Amino acid sequence: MHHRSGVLLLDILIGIGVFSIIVGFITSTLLFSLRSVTGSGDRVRAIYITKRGIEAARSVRDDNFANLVPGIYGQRIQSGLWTLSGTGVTTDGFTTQVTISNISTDHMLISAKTTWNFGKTRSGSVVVSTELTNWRKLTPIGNWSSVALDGSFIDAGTPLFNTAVDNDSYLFVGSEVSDGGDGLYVFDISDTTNPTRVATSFSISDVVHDLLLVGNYLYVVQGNNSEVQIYDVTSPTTLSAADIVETVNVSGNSAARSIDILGNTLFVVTTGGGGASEISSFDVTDINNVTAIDTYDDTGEYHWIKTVDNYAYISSGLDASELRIISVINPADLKLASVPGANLADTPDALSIAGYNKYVLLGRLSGAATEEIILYDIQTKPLTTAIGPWFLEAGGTANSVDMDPGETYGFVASDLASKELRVLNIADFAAGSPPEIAFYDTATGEGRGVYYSWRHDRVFLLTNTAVVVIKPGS
Amino acid sequence: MKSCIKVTGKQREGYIFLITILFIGIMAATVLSAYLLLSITALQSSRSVELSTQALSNAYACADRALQSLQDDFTYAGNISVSLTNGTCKIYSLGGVGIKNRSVCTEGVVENVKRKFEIMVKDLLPNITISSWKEVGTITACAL
Repeated sequence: MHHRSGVLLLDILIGIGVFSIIVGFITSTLLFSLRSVTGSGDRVRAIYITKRGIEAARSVRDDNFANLVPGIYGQRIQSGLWTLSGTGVTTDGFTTQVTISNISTDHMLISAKTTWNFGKTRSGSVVVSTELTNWRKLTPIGNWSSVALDGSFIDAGTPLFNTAVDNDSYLFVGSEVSDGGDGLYVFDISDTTNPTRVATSFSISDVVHDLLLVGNYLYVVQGNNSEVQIYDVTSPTTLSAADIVETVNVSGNSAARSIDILGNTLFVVTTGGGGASEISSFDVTDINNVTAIDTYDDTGEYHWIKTVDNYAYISSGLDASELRIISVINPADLKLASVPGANLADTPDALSIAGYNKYVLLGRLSGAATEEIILYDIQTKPLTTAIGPWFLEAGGTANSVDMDPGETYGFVASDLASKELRVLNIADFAAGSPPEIAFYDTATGEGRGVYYSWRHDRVFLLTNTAVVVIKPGS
Repeated sequence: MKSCIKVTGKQREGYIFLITILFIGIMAATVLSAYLLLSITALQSSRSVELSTQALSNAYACADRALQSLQDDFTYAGNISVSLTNGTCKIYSLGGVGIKNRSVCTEGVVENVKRKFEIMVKDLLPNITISSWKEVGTITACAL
């Protein structure tokens, strides 16, 4: 018998070797896992602490944007409110710093950084950044209790300006053509003290009754069978007929007078002449393919339209309803509103209307025994019947009215020789007090149109021969 | 003459020991693999939280830009992408027209993480009034 010695010892040695390798692997893996899990926990905690820094900055901005001063701060709670003070804050070993830097006017970059160091293998940092703007600020409007001339454009002829709209740099003005006017004018108003006509070679052969500007598209209501034409005004200085992208043909002939838009629906009102329906709705979702939706046929002339919420407020020639209200909740089913309007004493037509939220201001033809300027309360839609309306004698025809979007002031263009522009305080008007707070007298003709620009805080008074720019203050 | 090899009891014990060690090693390797996966998951989770937090801040940044632009110009259309310090954000085409009932939608992006807001603006004047501000998974209030 042959005996083999030492085999058991060899097995044991091999086993110990393998076991040592396994133990080493176990140890290193456990250490790595522990470090990873602990490090992840530190990082997550740091992220939430960093978020608090961002939220603190946002809270400070919400209180007052002016308190976001460039620098490095720590976020703290004082009297229940977030504040930014010191140069950093440390919580359980996590140090957070909030850095505020200026990007541009009313625009700040906020960067919050949290760092920690709990040992050689347990340290790190997290950074989260965002931007804050001053979108909560009030849109400024001047004090219109006094007015002054800012600038003007006086035409050599008698264009008989009617209506206007603007963007940041340009003013589009519509006029008659009966006395040499060009129908549509474009002015550079980047300097409102010196409105300068551009695109001087462009003219339309028909009167322009109303204008509406939506983005880069100008809707023009004309006195011809192509009642509404839509221009691309991306390049106003080279405006031409080639910029027409769509034409909207309204029922009847040359009867369209005014337009307004609500969402993707265009509303056109007419005088009802030639069989035209007094109000029509059109889908303008595709500006290159405007499609008709519905019409409503009334029994009188419609002159001007202003949409507020789901209603169209219309100045009309109806003897029993100078203020007419159409429900436009469903543009495919135009109908009289639950309160269809309001009747005014005597028969002079209502010519113009303006409104945004709580009130509508109506302008009327001159009448011997009637007031020409009327304010209605519409806080209870479509018409508050329990209070108002309020009346103001204009001493002439109120050709055109407008308001600022905050409904602080009303502006009236009239043919009264000494007060072509009148400025009204709406709150006083609604309180039953005399509302007129300022007026402007121009020698350029009667007040035919008025347009308040919230972009420039200016009133553009349109007269027989001029575009007069009025500013608040003396 | 026959030759025979006899396996002794001690030889068998050696094999048993070795096999036992190997078996323990396999068990340990299995458990440790699970530990490793958990730690990798923890690392990935913390990284996801970090990316998600930054993406949310980017969505906020675009929201602030959009609201500021809208206040400056009621005809502001949106539909732009913005490059930020960490990642990007997008302002979708604004909904509505005029100074009431507008919708603002933004998306913040960091690597492949996206977070989105839908903001309903009730009024623009005299200052912006928000009727709702919510985070959504899919934008429906604005054109894409």
